[in-house]
Amino acid sequence: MYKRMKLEGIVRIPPDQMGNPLEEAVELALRNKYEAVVDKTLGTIVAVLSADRIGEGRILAGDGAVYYDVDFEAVVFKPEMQEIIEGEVVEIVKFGAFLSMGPFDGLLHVSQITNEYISYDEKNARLVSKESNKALGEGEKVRARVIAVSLNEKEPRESKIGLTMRQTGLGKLDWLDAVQKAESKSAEAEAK
Amino acid sequence: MKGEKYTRYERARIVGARALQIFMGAPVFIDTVSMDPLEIALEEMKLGVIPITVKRAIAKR
Repeated sequence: MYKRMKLEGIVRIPPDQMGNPLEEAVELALRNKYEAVVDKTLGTIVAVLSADRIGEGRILAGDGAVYYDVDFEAVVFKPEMQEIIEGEVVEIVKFGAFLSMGPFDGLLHVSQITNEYISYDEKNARLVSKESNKALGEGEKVRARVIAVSLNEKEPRESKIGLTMRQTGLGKLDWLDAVQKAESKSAEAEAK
Repeated sequence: MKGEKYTRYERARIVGARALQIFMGAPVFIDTVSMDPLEIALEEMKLGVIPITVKRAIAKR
């Protein structure tokens, strides 16, 4: 889920920035320091919007730079457990599919795509089910639920997010449409 | 304090910090022929244009 948050931080303004207006320098420094940072409790900071309050500057011994306490506003994204997300399949591999959910990619394991057995079609880079002829390929939109979150602060690329589609209302959007159509048809038939 | 704004220790700290800033590329506030950051900082100190103040801890009794 994306959130807009007020955060506190400390920012270092190097001396060669001192000729510029303080707010500009602080915002630049905030962006460099905090954007794309992954934090276990916050998630990832997508963008720094503005510096709200810039505190008193401090000069530390041995460094010509000035340090400021800053309150700032930022957009953060955190994948929450049980959250429903809609995303696009970006890569199909032997063991499942990777979904792009914005700042992170989530893994949809083969065992979590449908209730049926799924096989990997290497030539077409697709995952195909045995019985109902469902297939999943790159670029297709799906709806899935987050069932595992492991964020890695030091190596953001190593963060792992597990997804499932084995619940009603989840799956490729085309399958969901098909289910809905079938249901409305049977309802019509019953009414007659 | 005898009309002095800073103690000699504070002056040394301010001039030192300011000289380091100038050395690291901070803009200089005065017109000067000097090229040495420490000399520039000392000159600025004399003119009182350095935007650095001292926060004094007040001793507890």
